[in-house]
Amino acid sequence: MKRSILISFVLALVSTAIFAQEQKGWKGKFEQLDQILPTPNSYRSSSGAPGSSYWQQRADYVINVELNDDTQQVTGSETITYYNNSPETLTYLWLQLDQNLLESNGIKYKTTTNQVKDSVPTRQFANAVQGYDYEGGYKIKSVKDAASGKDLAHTINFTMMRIELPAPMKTGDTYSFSIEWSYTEYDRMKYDERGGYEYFPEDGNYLYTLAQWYPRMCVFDDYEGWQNKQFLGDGEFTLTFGNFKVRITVPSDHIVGATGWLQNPKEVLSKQQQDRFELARKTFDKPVLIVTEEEARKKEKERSTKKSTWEFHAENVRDFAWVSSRKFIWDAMAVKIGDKTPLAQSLYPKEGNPLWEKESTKAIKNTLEVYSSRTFDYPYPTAYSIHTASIGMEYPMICFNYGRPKKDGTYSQRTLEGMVGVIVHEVGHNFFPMIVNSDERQWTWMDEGLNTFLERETTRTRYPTFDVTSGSPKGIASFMRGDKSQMRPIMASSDNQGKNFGPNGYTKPSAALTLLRETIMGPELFDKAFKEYAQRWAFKQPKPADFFRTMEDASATDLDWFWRGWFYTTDNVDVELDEVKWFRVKSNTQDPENKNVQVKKGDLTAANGGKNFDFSSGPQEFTVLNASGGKESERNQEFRSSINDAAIRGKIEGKNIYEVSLVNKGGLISPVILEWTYKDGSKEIETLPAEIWRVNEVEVKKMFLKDKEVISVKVDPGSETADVNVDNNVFPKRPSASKFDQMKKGNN
Amino acid sequence: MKFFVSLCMVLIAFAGVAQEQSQWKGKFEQLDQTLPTPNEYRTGSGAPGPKYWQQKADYNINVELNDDNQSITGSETITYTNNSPDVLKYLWLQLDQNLFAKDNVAPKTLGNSVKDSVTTKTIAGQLGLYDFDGGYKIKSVKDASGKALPYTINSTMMRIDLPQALKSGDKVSFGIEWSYNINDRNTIGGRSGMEYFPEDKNYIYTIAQFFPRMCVYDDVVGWQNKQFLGRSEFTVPFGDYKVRITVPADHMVGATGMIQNPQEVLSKTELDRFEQAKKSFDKPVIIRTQAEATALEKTRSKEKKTWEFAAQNVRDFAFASSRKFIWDAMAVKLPTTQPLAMSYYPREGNPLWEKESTIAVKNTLEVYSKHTIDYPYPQATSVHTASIGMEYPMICFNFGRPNKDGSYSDAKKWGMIGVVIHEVGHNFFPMIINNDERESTWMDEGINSFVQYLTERERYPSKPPTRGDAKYATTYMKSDQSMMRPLMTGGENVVRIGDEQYGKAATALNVLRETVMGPEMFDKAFKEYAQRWAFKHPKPADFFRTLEDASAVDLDWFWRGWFYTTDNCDMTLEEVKWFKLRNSQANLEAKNKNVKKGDLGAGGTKAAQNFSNGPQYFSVIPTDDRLYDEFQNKVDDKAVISKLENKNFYEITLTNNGGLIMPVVIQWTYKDGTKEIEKLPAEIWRLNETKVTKVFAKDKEVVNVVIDPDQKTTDVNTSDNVFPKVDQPTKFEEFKKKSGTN
Repeated sequence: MKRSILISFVLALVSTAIFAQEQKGWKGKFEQLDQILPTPNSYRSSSGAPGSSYWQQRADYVINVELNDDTQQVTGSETITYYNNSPETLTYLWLQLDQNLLESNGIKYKTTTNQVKDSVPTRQFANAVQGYDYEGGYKIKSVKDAASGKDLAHTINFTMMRIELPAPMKTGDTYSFSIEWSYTEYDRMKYDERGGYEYFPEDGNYLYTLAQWYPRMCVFDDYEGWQNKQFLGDGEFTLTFGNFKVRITVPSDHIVGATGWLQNPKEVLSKQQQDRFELARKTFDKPVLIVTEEEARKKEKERSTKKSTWEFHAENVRDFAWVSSRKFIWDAMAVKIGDKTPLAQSLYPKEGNPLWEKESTKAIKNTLEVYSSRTFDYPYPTAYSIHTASIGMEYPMICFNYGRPKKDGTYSQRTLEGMVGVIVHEVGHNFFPMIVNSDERQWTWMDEGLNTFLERETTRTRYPTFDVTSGSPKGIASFMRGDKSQMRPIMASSDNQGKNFGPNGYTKPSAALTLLRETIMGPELFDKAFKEYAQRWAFKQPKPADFFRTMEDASATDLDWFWRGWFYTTDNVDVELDEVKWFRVKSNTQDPENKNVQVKKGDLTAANGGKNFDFSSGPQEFTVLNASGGKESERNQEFRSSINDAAIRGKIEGKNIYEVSLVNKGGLISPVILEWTYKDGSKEIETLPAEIWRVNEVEVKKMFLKDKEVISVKVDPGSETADVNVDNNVFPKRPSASKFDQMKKGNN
Repeated sequence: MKFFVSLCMVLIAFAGVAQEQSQWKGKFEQLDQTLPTPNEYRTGSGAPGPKYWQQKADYNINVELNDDNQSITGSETITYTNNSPDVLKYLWLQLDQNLFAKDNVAPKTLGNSVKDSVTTKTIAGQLGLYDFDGGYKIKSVKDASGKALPYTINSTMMRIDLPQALKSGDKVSFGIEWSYNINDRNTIGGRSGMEYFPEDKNYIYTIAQFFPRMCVYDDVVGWQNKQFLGRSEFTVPFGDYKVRITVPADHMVGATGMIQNPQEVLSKTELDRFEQAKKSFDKPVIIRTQAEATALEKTRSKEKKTWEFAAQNVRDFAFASSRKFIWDAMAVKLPTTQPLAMSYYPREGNPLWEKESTIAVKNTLEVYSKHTIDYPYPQATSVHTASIGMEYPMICFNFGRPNKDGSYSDAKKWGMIGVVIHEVGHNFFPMIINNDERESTWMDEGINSFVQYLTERERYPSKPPTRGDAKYATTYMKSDQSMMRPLMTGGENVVRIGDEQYGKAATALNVLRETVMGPEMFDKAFKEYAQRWAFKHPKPADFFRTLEDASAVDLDWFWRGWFYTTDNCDMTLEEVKWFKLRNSQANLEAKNKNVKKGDLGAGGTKAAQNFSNGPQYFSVIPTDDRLYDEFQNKVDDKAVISKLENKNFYEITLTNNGGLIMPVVIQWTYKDGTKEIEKLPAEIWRLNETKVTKVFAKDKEVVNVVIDPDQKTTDVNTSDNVFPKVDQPTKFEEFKKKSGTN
């Protein structure tokens, strides 16, 4: 299934390439994407919306899990109820065993390349050669039919487990089965992964961030069948929606935060904590502390041997994560979103203060507000931000974030912007991909890129003093200027991006969307279309074509050229302002009467010979003939009415006509923003849509009529288009260093 | 069986290896994912699928033409039926008039440069120097209850957000009020607008895209809301129209559809003549004469009249109005229908128009109906106005104006007849076989130009052949490749739209009909396409698939070459070698005196230029026992050899230099002066796409071989298609000839 899709994708690209390559210069950059996108069908419509027969599977989980603080061992059992909403009959199920990423001789280790370097730090080298004494990976104790308790045959292929169904699951069937497992959490300082624990040697405590901690259903869909592509570490997760009931047993002096809503506060919280929690739910102006720093500090010395079981429920989520530590300070506040009031909550150790008590929960609130205005009202009851070292990682309703002050509690502006940035980003992931549930294993940009774009929008509007260059067209220019041989298109698969992972997953798509919003579509049309996409695909599973198609369908803007260039190639924008020629019309008296004194063809170029580098040679003159004197084709001369030659002459005589020559050197199609500076010092901005390149993709010329005399012209004055070389955007041309040098040399 | 299996394996292995060879480009491979995957909406056969659906938009329009300030004021109620399986939250409409709005972006997307000695008209167009306040003024958009609906205008497109999502199978009605100023086609240009006649100070109005029209929503592109930039035309859904047109009382109006209130707007005489025309099958009846129309030119009626037209199952509506119009009409007899052919023209069109227009409409309806479906609409109108050819359902606007003294050249006449056939022909493509013009120009212009060519050849054989003719196309096919775009290119992105989307596409179909498939197979398949997709929305793959499906001719190589590349056909007849069998006796008895391998080749290292060296001799020897493998019966060596003894064998070597695959047409001329034509299907090139060699046995001696003697394959260079090779005059000789210095 997977292979056939890949092959057709490649073939479609090839077939376009075949006919495009034969034309010099012309590469069909404005052609519709056609078969580069999948043919629409009843599952996914041509408009980019879910089709009339759209379906998706569902998986409900009931889980019991215990964390052993002495051994860092996680022991769990779950019952999964799987709903087959597909039109197909299933004979087996696939589950994800993400913990197996760190099993010894696992697939990640085997497929990671490296080489010996001198003076390599232990932390790096140990990882490369499995140098730590850590036994990772799931120990699967049992896989059983839930009803009969009978063992189910299963096969493990690295990070994927196939379970054979005792009877085929028909459309509409549900099936329940149970799994028991255990594994040892890893030290995240050693293994740079998404879950694990952070150890604090000073007080001997742990901060656990539990993620991918249970065998999870793979997605089965209309596009890919089972999405059982191995977890190699980069391409994240592809998950099915469902309801979770999770009972978490931890030392009773721990505070737990998790996906979903706490069901038994009376059993696990003190009366005071319960009161503060209720107060927080009604407080909209600032966070309320539920566990204070002082209280948390006190607990750091306890080592309770009692256990408490925290029960969380979550509905319509694609995953479940949780955190646990006796070090946690806890604050929360309510946020008003439409008719909903989700609770913004933060858990952090004292090491995060004073930064965290000030900024974390506020950042959650800002995120929920801005994202909701651009997509849909945040539908979950809560959103947590958890502090632990050197990470930013998202799960439904909960995320783990970096941003730690120095030991004396001071912090730089950079730490502040980084910490707020990561919270906005990770909380923002609740929208993409937790709700607008894209396939992360395949396309990183669909969640990271869209999310980075909205993260930047949130920062731009709520933190106006912060630097928002990253994720903007200006910010991405240096990457796009780089070595093409190492570059991959955004559409390349997550695990194949290598060094391009950051730019292609995050900042380049964000820059592309920013360019689309600010320059190509305008905020009104863009925001409408983007919102349409989010609403169409909320709690569903979109693919790239669904995004591309929706953005066009909702806005009446043909963007196939944009997706083609920005998402399917590594071309960059480099528009060169090759030349500006200055003209004036020969005066009236010389010409119209004197039809026979026509200037010969080629006179204009002959007059000046070479290229202009500035306006110093003054305007060239050219002749305009009366319409009746011209050589219109016979077919066009049938009109009995005539053109008012004098009126037309009156409009151009004495005025300046500028012929601008533009060259597309980077290959990526771009709108052209021209800034005219007039002799009187005034300026004018004029934008030519990208379609100016649709017939000739390499070179265009265009005339402009100006009352005032122009002294300089600049392309992309506001750095809006990600132009990678702004030196060639100006006329009169500045003598390049090399030319100047040559001249000097010649003089010597 | 075994043979077939091993052959397949060989082919596969060959393909695998060959892919890496630069020579082999897979030109005979199936198009596969180059075409969309068939599904329940569009089948693998190219027919509409079992769940094919299309939307419907019904219009009720009131419109008034103001002759004093040349403006249109209108109001409409659109009833939109959602036959799609999807839920629609918003609707898109086309505001085509906005192309002429002052702030429209289209001019900004056009490159141009300063040229000396251009006319005022040209530069005024390039720099936008005319004072014209164009574009729609939308007064209101309201739902059925009169409540304002929220809408967003993006250039030439308007989105209406529905208060309640429109479910599958549901209908919604809404009203729009608008006005706009009519463009002068002589200055602003455009497909519709007005023509002014300074002599009598009257206007001819040809009014189209005059109302906000629904966009198409379909299974392939969703909303087809690609902006109108001026060139790529229209994509519109079918529906029923009721249109009331108010004009000065002395105007004559022609429109899409049938007049509903003739008693209110025509004189008794005109009514009588109109009834007479409906029964006149041999020649047009003039309903308003030139004398009557000329007399009206001086009236300036202050009265108004409202003409009511109705049209069913049309994708658009247009009308023409003027007090200058002469009107004639006649009936056309088709196997199952009996439409009217009509013409409206000012006296400036005569005497050409009264003679040719309505007859050309008739010829068009007859020939097109034969090749597609019987013309299903009640009438087809041809309107004359200057310098245009533009089509709408049942009505079109056409050029072809005699000189002021009424004289006209042959070129003018053929141009006029050509455009009338073409524009009336558009009733079939795209008005009935309703393709997406915004995206695929060739699907209507190319196919229509092809049927136009068939009509002209059948009904106007003395008209010089133009688009569609294979020989005519070679000028384009051999021109600068860098300016060429494949036919499967969006209309807005091509350079030479006429030569390609019209001309090359028409030629492709003509070559397919005459040379590749033969008229019988082609006509059957082409008719199948027209019948399958009449009153539906076909896409390119539906055409490609149907033509193959209905004829059992694999044409993927043809579509690939003609529609997806800019290759041309350029075959070279490299060499013809003449062979004869050695005397059989010398052979059979002297087995050991066999010619050594390579002897034949050694005979001449240089390719033969003609037959002057006489035949080369080669040996045919009895089949060795070992070559019979398991077979126990044997070939009758003697019989075979004696049968071939006196024959001439010709080994022909052909190369394909242009890249485009085409069948090979060979003309043999024998010593006795007789000729023979032999055709090799295109598949001769399937293993080696650039060079083939083939042996032919001929009783008679051949003196001359010509490839493509009648220029049916668009071969761009026929000088190398002949053997014996014709000496090309050297440059020196040419120079001598020219300068005449002997």
